[in-house]
Amino acid sequence: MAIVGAFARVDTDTTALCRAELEQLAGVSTFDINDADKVGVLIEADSLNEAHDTITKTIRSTPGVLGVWPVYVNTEDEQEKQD
Amino acid sequence: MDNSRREFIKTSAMASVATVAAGGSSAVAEKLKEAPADSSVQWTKSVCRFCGTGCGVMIGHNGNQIVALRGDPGHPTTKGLVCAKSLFLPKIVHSKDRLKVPMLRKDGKFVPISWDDAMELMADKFAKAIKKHGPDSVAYYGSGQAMSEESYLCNRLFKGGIGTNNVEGNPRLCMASAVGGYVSTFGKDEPMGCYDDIWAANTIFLVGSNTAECHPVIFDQILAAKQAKRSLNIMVLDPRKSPVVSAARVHLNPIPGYDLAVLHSMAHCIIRDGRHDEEFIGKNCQFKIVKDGKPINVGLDGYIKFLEDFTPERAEMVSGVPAEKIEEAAKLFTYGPTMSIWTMGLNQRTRGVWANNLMHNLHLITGNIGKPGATPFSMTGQPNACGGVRDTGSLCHILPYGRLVKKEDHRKQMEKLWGSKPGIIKSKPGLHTVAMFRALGEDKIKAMVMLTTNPGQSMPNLHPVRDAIGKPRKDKPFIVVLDSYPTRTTEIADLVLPAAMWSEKTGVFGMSERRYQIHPQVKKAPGMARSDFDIMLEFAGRLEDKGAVKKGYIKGKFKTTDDVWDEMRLASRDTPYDFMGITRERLYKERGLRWPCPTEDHPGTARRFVKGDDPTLDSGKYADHTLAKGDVKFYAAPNQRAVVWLRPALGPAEPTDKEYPFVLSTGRVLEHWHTGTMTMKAEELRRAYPHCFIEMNPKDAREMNVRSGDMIKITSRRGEARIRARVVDMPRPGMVFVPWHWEDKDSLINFVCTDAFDPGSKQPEFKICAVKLEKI
Repeated sequence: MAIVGAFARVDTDTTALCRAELEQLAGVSTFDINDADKVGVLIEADSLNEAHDTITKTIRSTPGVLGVWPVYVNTEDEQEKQD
Repeated sequence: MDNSRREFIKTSAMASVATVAAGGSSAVAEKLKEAPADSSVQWTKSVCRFCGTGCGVMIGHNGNQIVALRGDPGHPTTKGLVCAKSLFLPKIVHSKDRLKVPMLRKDGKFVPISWDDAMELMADKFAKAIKKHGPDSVAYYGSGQAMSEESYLCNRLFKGGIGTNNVEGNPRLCMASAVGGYVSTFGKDEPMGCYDDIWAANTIFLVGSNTAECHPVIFDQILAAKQAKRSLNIMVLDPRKSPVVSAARVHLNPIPGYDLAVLHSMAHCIIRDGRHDEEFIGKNCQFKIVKDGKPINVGLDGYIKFLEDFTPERAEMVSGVPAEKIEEAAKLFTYGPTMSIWTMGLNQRTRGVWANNLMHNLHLITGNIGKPGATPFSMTGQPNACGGVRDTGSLCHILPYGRLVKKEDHRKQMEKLWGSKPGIIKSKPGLHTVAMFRALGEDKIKAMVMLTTNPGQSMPNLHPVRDAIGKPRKDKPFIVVLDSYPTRTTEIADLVLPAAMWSEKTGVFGMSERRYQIHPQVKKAPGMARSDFDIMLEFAGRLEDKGAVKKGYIKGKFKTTDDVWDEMRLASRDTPYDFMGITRERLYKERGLRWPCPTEDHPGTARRFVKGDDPTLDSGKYADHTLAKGDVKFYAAPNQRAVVWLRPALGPAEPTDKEYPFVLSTGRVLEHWHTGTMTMKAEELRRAYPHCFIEMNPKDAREMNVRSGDMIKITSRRGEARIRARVVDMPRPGMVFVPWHWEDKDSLINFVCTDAFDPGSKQPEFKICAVKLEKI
């Protein structure tokens, strides 16, 4: 299991719509961060590979998303596997 | 990972996002503290080790493992934001292929040897070369990724101990033209502005800078500033439609190498329309042209006459940029405050210094300088090219903190501080990077040490460089490489020494806005790896033992990087760099400080050359008590006036022709950094771009019947590469773009690039060379 915290910077004209679109994505939940042009995004995936794909291939191409900024990545599981 | 742990991590992740999204405000930062305590992970403040943005990070570590990384919400400029590369640093540090033991090449194969044998051999080879062939038979090639204390120590050893100015580093490949621009215009290197200016600007001019991918945190700040102030104008000057263009109001896309005409034409329009600032010019500027090798004053009238040749219509004929776009850009530039940001698109050019001068010209004639939001700002590509190499004087022609080898008083100052033999520092610059590797190939250099860099992949015109480093021959020069990973350079070295990595050693990085920040050791290096500092310190001591360096010159003077830092502060004292006030204690406590910072109670300097902000104008030889707060004074320039240079609008060294009809430009992608030595270690980043690619404009692709995925052979006068096509409307027609991160032989685009260099900065023209393409 990989967990990534990110925020998406969105066009303020489409914030609500954009957030609704993001909520539809598998493994993605959103949360409010009290800022009209940002949406908090939590990504839970089987691996960091998958989480990264979700950011680069899915969230980034969601209409209204200007950019996605991962802020927190946990690598404990990966290292447990390596060890 | 059990459920409670997972929930804890999710809470931490959300709190981190909330904190960062709020710009690190203290109210939201409290949320992080409210998260359940996790005693197994210790968090330590540090700084990212990739680009020159200098993002503050928090390293989560448990014993000898780094288990997590997050942006530091308390960081004053990056406010907790980091990019994907940074977040994968824990995986990169723990990569299984780290170098762990010293290795010596014997009969063509590497064999492990002890540290004692390795250091003795290294010192012996250097000492014998110095004795037999003189000090200039050895050389040092460093890096904008080494710690400041490491670069300073090596510079001290080679220039003031051994007595050679053959001291260079990879910032020559990325920053040298910016240095030349700042020095020739303002008299001293380094930007005068800071990241705060992004938020105060009304116009941001991005020039030759794919900020979205190469400095993504800065680009987010630009986007955020645009969201906060919808009237913010963003302009882009770049032949490639990089991702920054999506945010731009105006995109000027010149034929690669012909943008100097565009910049002159903007100046022409500004003055023609009376939008220049005559009062600022009268107080602060002078106008010069070089004739018969000498600079001559021409005055504003001479400049106006010079610009007559650069009407927008004429500039369009030269550059391909429509005249009306040049007119629009010129107007927007005067809707200040205006901040220009540029990187390699200007610097990696045979006319790089001139291009930098022309950027400064626009700011000077409009008075867009020295005020919040108004500044010409060259971003740096490495984490410590500024603080570590430019500031410490670790290039062949300079000495620490703005001093020059050609100036006798500067040499004497450093010899005195260092305790060198009087007269040992030579007045003649050593070999610059391209010349150094050419001399190596001619066996004029007999022993060379390289650290924290990968010239076997990163140098242009790579065939002769790789031959110089590794081709077996009689009396071949002895090459020592210090690195954390196996690279295309270690594979051809004679002696490879395993080096500690970021988070495994303590030192200072100085990033683009003159902010010095400490990154502390939080774990041990793997195996027998040691810090570059420890290795070079022992090397210096052994050279003293062998009589190649004066006894006691370095041995016994320094034990840790803390000791070196104190001497560096002394070296900066009474110079415009003065950072006597940036003590180790402050670096640990605060989130970096911007020099000048002369006393321990000084807050650091946001903007240089500005009365009330820059302490250099308050005391010392540049003090001026007649100025009012906010007045600008270019105290280091000749006659204390910045120079507006009248430079010829010449094109690239290798224009296209019938045989080589395309322009090749190289650059980076978001997920990778430089030669990929680190970022390719994270599977997630590698998978983002598993293969190299060549971007082709759809028009060119149609004419060659090329589709995305087709294999293309790219040939220049120097070499060839074979890379998959990516047909996309990004490069302008006639131009192709290739990122340079992949190390497999077919993708090594630097075999193709030219090593033609700027005659002033000696920086090679990575951005432009002529190639032919063939679908294979």
